[in-house]
Amino acid sequence: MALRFRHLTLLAVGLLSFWLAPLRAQTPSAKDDRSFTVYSPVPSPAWDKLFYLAGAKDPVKLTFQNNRRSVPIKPAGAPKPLVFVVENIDPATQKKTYVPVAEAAWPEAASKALVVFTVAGGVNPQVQAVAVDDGLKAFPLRSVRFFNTTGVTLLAKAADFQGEVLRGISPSHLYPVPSNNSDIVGVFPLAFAINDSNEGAKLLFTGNGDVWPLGRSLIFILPPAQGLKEIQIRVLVDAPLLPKE
Amino acid sequence: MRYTARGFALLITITLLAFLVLLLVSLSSMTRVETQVADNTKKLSNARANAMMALNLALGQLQKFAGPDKAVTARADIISAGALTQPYLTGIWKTTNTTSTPDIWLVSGNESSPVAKTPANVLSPATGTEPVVDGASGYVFLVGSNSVVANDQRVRLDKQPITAAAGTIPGLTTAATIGNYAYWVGDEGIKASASLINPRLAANTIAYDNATGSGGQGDNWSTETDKRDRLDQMQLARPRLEHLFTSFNPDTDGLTGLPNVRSNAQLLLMTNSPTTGQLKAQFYSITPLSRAVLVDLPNGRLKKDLSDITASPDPAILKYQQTRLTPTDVFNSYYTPVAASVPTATTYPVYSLGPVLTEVGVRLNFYISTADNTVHYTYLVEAELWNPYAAELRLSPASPLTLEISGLPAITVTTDGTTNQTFTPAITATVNAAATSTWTAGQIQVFRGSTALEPLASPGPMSNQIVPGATTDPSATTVTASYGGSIALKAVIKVGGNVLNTITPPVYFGSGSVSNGMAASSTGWLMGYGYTFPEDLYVVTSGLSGNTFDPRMPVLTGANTNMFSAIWTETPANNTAPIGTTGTFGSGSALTLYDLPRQEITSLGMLTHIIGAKSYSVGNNWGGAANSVFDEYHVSTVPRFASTWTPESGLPLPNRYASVYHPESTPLIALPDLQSSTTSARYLLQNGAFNINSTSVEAWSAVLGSKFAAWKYAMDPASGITLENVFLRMPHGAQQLANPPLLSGGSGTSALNDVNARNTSGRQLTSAEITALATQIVGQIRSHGRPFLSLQEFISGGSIFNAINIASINNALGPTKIFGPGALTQADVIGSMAPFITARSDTFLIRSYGDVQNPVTGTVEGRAWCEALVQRLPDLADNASAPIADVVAPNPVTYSSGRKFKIISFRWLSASDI
Repeated sequence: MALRFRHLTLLAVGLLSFWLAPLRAQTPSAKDDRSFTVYSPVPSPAWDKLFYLAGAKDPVKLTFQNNRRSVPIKPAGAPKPLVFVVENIDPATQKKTYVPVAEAAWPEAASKALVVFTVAGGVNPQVQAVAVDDGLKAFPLRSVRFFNTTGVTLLAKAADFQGEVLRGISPSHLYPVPSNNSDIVGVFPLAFAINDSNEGAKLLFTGNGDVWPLGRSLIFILPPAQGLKEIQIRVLVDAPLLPKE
Repeated sequence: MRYTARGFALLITITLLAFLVLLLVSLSSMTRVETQVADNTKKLSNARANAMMALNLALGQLQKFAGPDKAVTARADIISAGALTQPYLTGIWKTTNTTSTPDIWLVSGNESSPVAKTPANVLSPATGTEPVVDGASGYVFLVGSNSVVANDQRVRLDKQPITAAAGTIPGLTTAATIGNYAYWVGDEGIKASASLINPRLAANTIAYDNATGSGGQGDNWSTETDKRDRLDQMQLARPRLEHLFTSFNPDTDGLTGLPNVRSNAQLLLMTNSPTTGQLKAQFYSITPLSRAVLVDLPNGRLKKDLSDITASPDPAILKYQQTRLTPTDVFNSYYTPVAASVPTATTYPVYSLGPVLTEVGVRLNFYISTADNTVHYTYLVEAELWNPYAAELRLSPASPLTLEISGLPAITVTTDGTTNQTFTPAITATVNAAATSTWTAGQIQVFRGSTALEPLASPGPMSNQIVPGATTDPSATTVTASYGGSIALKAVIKVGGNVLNTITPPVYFGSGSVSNGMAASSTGWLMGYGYTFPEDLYVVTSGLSGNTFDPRMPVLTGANTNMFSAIWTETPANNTAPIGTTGTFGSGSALTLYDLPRQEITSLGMLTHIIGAKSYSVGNNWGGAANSVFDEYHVSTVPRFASTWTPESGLPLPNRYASVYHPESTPLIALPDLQSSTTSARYLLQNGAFNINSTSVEAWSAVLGSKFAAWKYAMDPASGITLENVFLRMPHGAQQLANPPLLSGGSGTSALNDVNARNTSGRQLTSAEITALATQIVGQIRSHGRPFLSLQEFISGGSIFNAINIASINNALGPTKIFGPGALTQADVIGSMAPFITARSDTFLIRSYGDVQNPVTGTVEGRAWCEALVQRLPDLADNASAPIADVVAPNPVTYSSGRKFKIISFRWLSASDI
């Protein structure tokens, strides 16, 4: 009996261990605070049809804002590519189907992500999505990051930083804040150039960036609009709440 | 003894008889010689009389065709780019004649039919025996190998017979040729004047007080030496003889001798003189002194004097003439902003003296304040202001700049509660005058703030306020701002409450909405409105295309700012970036485009900085009607306040190309007549007059570009630098700029590159570039096929503009900078020549020939050549005592002979002078 009881106890412990083991491994996800926001620097009608495929749940409609990130969206399940779909409604049956149009890998070790949508040119434009770490560690307050969509490496000057800006997202660069007064919007020097193999460095833009004492700026560098020579600049500013100490 | 005595008597008798015979023979021989001498003298006298007759014929033709004001002159090679038999004939065209055939070719044989003898059918100069060949096919050289170096530069003409009517010669019953003549008229106005020196270097310098009593409008040439030195910058300092005679320096070798030169041959007497061969090579390029009557060719009257500001043709010009900057030191001056008094003038836009608003933007944000649960809106204004002048700009704290932005759309603010308010932002901001009290020439500054605009280094705060009428809405978490489209954004920059510029860009902003949530403070922007000047120097310095404009225009609309940028798009929600400083109006380096007077204007070329809706209109081919000022006006610079200056004092005028002319009937000129805009030209002649129809490459190269041995400016005030072949865009403010005139192949601050070309006072050319430019100018003039009938036609035709392009003068600059201050433009060239250019000549050289021919034998028994320099004067040929009103504007019917030609020098020539 005792042996039996011991065997049952061991079995129970084993089962419990077996049951608890994965739970222990998933402890962090029990406090899963991951979220992502979406933004696009270029307007497109495609954004009105775009959904996030949230696992088994109903797809989540994406709502794009002009100059700010969308409301945060909780990703479904474990880290895996975020899948974005387009909703199609059969006019006859009103049945909804979802066709994947883009997916974005979750940035490594990120709890906050920003998914940037762009549209690749061509006859049949394709939606492209890139998720970048949008947490305060990667992108702290009083700093600037660049998102280079021009397709070429640029030379940039931003505050004290001077160097190359590769395609896609750049590391953050802190800018000095002259005043903590939130109503004082200072400036830091901002310039972009391209290193042409034939003509040497060619200045594309010089100007200033806004210094936000309580915010941070993500600067999108876009190719020139049709008919213009100048690169386009979009500035996405936010003032995320600091985590409690 | 007897025999001896008688023989002696016979011998004496015979001897006496022999002496007597000898005496008779001697007397006979003497009589014969004397008779022969008398006969030869008579024949020579007759020959000279025939030569004088030819001279008078030439003078008569000149008087008839060139006496009236409405006529232009040119050399024959203007009508064809190809080879002519004789390219050195002079033609006269009435200003109504737009063909390639003149009204007369001034050469013998055209007395009854003025264009019978043409450059195509006169004798070829390339062959023939000098100096003359008699006979049925006889000819004579009037310009021969002792005058020119090449055979084809000679002038060989048919001899025109002088015929005695039948019965007038005893023993001959038929008409017979008793002599021959020929004449040729050379145009001296198309040549460079050799005797002109830089008067500032001469002993008789401009040194009198024209300031006392002037109320700040006059200059003291005695004490203000910097102003006197600056006179060299206002126009070509003197003709560049050293371009033609490389060993000769007029400033040292000819300073005392040149003013006394009356014939080219006297140049051989100068120190380091040219050789005879060099002098002959320039026979058609230089003249001792060409002078011209100051005539308004299109209107057939004397020009009006712009120095008489009481008769200034337009308030804009008057205002510009009266502008005087406040000097801070020898080279630097400043001005305070002055609003345009006639901001809507269109003929001559009245530019405000003040900064130009090159870019402006306002960005807005909306949020729900966590502090009070109301909807706040914030805005931030940015303004990019540019001092376009070659002088400092100083703001007075008592009269700060203000910026007013209107035309923003009505914005409806909705929260997810119930608040719904509509308001229209209207923004007024004041630029901090104390912080920006001194702007250097061409400086561009960006200001930021809301109600107070401060320099970027310490920007003013944004405006943060509750949306008007908004109430507390505790349930609200999202605010949405909806805005309409199709607005008329308007920005007005004022000084002391007066409008400097009003800019209404034709920018259509679309409608839309933006939204935001709750926040403790405002961060980021949701939308923005603004405009920028095109970041393209070409647009604000050229006038060639429709979208170009003068950025100082008092009211800028339409195409003036019809260009979106990367910053300001038609979608307000995309306009959230700070204003850019890329390119032309970048704040990193100065951009200096316009000049302001430091002293009296001495050249019409300065008006390029004030007249026209497009930059640099006057003097450039896009000037159109504005270029008529060169025909209608002159700038005498006759002193108004100098007690020591009188018309008879002999003291030079600040305008070195103007000289007082005393009519024979008026030995003492009434000073008010000389100072009057209307009558001034009656008593003046244009010294060194240069006919822009000149087809002499050498003459053009001698009137292009000044030389300065030690040009001092703010960056080098002590020793100065050498400037060669320089054209100054900013002749008054040149010393104040950081860079000297740029030079092809130059280095440092004079290097011709994009950066230096933004902030320089002008341009230097190399000798090769001068030659290329002169060659191309002549090419352009000849391609026109006929002379230009006015200065306006020449300038608006763009001959120099085309020549600059073909000669690749500005190729080292990018395409956007070909009219910038570092480039050479047609207006720069015209500005340097304005005091002495004309479209016609009034000085001519007549060479004539006459001979006497035996009517029986046909033998030429005497011949003579002569040469006369004739000058057209303001006096009327038909009435030397005509009323001054008639002299100013003669009726072409009453005074059909126009203005009087006068022989000012004459000499008989030998064959070795030809």
